[in-house]
Amino acid sequence: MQQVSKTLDTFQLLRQWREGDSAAGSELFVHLYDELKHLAASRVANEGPRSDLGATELLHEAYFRLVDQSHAEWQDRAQFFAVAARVMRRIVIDKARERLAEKRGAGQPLLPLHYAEELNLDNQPEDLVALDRCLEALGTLDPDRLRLVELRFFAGLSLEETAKHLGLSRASVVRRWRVTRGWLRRNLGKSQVES
Amino acid sequence: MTATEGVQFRRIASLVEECLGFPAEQRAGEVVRRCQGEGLPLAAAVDLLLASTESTSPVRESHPPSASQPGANSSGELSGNRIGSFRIGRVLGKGGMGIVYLAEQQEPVRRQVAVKIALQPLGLQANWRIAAERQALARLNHSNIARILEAGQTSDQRPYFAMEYIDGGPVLAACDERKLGIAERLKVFLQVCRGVEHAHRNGILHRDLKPSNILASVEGSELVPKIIDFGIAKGLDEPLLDLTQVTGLAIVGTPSYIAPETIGIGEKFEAPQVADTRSDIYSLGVLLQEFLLGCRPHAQSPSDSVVSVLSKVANTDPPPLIERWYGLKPERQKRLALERSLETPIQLQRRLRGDLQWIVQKAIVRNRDERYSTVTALAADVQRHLDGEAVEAGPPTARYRLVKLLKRNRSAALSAALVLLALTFGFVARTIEARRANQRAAEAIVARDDTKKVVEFLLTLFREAAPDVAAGEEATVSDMLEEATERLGKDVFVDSPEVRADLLLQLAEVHWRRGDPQRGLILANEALELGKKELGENHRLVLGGLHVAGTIASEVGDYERSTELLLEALDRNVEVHSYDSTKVSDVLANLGAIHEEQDLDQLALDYYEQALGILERQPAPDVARITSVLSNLSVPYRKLGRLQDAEQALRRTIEIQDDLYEENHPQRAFALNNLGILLQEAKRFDDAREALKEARRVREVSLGVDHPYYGLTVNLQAQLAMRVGDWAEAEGLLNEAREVWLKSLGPDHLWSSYPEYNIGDLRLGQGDYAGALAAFQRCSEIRDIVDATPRAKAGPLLGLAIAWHAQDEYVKAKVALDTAAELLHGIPTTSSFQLLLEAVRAQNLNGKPHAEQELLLQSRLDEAVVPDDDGDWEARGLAHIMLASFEIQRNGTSARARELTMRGVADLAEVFPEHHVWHRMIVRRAEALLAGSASSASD
Repeated sequence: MQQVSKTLDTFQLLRQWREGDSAAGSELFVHLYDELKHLAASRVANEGPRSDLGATELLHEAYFRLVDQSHAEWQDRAQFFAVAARVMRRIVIDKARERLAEKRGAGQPLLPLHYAEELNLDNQPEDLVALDRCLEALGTLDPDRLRLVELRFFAGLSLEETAKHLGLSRASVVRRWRVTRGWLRRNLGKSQVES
Repeated sequence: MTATEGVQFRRIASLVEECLGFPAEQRAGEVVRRCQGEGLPLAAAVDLLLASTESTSPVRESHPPSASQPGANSSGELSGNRIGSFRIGRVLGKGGMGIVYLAEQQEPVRRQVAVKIALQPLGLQANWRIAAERQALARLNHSNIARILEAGQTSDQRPYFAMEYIDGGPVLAACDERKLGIAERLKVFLQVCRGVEHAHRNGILHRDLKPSNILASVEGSELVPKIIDFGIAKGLDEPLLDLTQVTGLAIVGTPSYIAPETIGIGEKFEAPQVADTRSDIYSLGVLLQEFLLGCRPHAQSPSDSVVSVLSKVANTDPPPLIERWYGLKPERQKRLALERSLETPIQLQRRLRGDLQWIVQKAIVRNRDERYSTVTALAADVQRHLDGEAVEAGPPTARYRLVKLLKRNRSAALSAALVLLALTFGFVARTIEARRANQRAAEAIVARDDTKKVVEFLLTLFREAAPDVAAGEEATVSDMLEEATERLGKDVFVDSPEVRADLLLQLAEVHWRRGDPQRGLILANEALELGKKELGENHRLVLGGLHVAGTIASEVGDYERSTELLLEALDRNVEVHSYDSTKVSDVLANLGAIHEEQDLDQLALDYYEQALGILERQPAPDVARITSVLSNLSVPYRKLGRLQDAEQALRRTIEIQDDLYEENHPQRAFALNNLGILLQEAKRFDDAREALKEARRVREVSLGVDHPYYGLTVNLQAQLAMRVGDWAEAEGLLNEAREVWLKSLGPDHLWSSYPEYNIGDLRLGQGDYAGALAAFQRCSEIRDIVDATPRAKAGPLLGLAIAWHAQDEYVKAKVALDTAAELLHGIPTTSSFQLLLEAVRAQNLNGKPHAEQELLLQSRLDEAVVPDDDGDWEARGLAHIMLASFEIQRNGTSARARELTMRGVADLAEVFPEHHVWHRMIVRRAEALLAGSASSASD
């Protein structure tokens, strides 16, 4: 029962959102936030934070659980991942902030961040919060690049998948990724200083 | 961010992307081509972003001029041309925004020179500055400075410098090649100092001192360092390195060598300071470290960005030289020693310790006021070291080090480190099984790898702090603790009570967890007093102090004080954090534990239930905490005879844990162990066996068979086997547990006394009183050595008393029991113990009872006999046997004696089933009594 209504919700929200209903978008966000957080928590609990099973599998699982496959179109999938990546970012960052606030508390382990090593990130809460701040800045400078980062880091998509989702050639995604990564890497050092 | 910024950013990014489409060596040219007419800021921004995309080396560093450098493609057209009086030859190197050529001067003398030409024309302002400095530069005339011969502008307005050509590589490589020893290296370094000193006297800063700017000229057999690029950084590179547009920084220099104060991105956003002589001293200090150790103060990886290196330099204290040394791989250490003509790394390590380390530290300390104020002072100190005199730089004080330690590990790390440390080495000497299912202990096990790192780090630090302890041997954890405690005992941190209180508290916890609660309590009380006086009644350290002191007080048996402290902690925490907070629930859970230990089980239950309620009401319930409380809750339930409730609590714990943890998570074993105990109590031996079997399996898989916790489960299995009368199995298991603990904890550990105690019990049951005595004595000795809690010490004494008594050694039995009674004074004990105590006291030295005492015993017995089945069977049984023995001693084996004995045996059979060792012992004893052998053996 629960399952059916959930898939319906997601499916409809996606459609409504695509048709320009921004309220549906934020509802979708909240909806996904709960679902993914739950999934992620059980994942982390089962596999531990260093598990290879990361965001991608998680999102795929969520996708299959939440979106009615028989009616889904390609755009649904692309949009789902775009939203879900953003949701994952929120989850990861919220967790990191929580951890920072707790100070001495043990807390739950953080989710593994894909490709984090490319930024020399340690998956430490401080790093993640700094990353979030950088992404915020990146979003105001160039929203397209922000989407790229979110898909890579938080949805864990490969270069090929990312290219497909953004409708770009692989080569241009590679270049765009390199440049964006370089920018982040440099600015990360800086924003950590500010934090 | 404004919209224009976004446009600008996208433009820069897409320019970089375009350039990335070209082969690497053409990219610089592409940047120049694309940014022509756009102004330098854009070009610089593009250049920087482009550099950051290189995954290998985004840290910008100019290459040292070297003969092997291939010619530059984009500006190679200059070769063969004439600039000033020079004929330009091949390219020596490319650096920053300039290219260095080998050139030939014809007038006034024919000689080879190096000419550095900027890639781009400079603005008017920069040109003026160059003109102003040219004269100063020309004044520099020192054998350790490459002379500036000429400066000017090319026909296309690009500035150039011509300088003495040094036909040698970078000085560091030359030192390594020649395997110069430390003293020889210091002499070379001194020459560098002389050169810089000369420039400073002439009012010129170098601003970019680094190994690649110091070349080795060979004169005869001597290696003479020559500093190049003097003052040029300012004239040539500054405008091009104006990063303001991109990063908000204006930087001149090379990241690792740049003085922190000139960076200006410090914690408090201080503005960058104008470089002065002390900035050059900083660079010299870094250079000295490289001469000595071959690496820079701050560890960095090739992929670190400029900004991250800068922020490291600006915001963190450079680790001591010796710490960097410890961080190097052994192969590297070996190679470094060889390059310094030393046979072993240890020799180099000894050489670096002391003077040299302090000199480097004084040169590169972050606060420039603490540095050497002049190059002359630095050079003088190096000279003093060479001459074997005492250097001006000294070892940092203990206080300084501890402050550093605290600063570097402020957030959680220190307490975590110390506690983990204690747990790793000391393990938690507590009641036999997870009454307070020790969450942190389990986490410590999981995080064993992290712990190792922490421990290594701390060991390094303490080795440093106590050099006499070190000298080749490992400082032990105890040494470290002693050291830390001793230092805190002195009047350190008097001006910062918060730090002092914090540290006291952490040490208190460590001592306590390492099994020294007395010391822990003293420290915790001190922290508490200090906190209340200096920090205010509701300061977090006061709250923490109350909690810790309260918990430890219970450990030393001072329940009154413990309750008082914890109740205060409760009130204050409610006030500060509100009732519904995990801080409050933690205190409540501890209150539950101490009341349970005093057998105030109903109260304990109330506290635990309150704690549980709070935890369950949290918006995001902490399941780990919940399971811990649930698991503890089962203990008072069990003791109150509410076995079903106890089982339910444990089953719920296990259920949650099954969701929370994977099958083999060590945390699961705690609850399974408790369940085993409970089921044993409920006489469901088969179920108990299953639970313990699973606990054992989990511990075997997750912790391994050498782990102390594994021993705990084995010991429980042994107790179960004894309970059901399977003595052979029990003995095997006890030996196994003993082995585990001897191996992992050593003989002098509380846990190592557990199997001894059980073996004592086993021997009693077997009627082997001599064996029982030996085992209880071993147990008692261990508990004396580790200075266990009074209750733990009394246990084996009780066993001894029974064994002596069984052998009709009443005097010895009485001594043992009196000692136990003394230990347990003021501590609630079981009624059976009290009865036993009084019964033995009731006997005079040759075993004859006092009539008075006998009456007392009889009245106690009447109290113990309650009509329902929940009476204290053990106490009743013991009392009956005692009375029987009195009766026999007085009247022989009368009918009454017989009846009393049978009753006693029947009572005890309620607690100790037929096969139980104690049952056997009692029957044996009863038989002996009735056979009348007791009195005949009494003398």
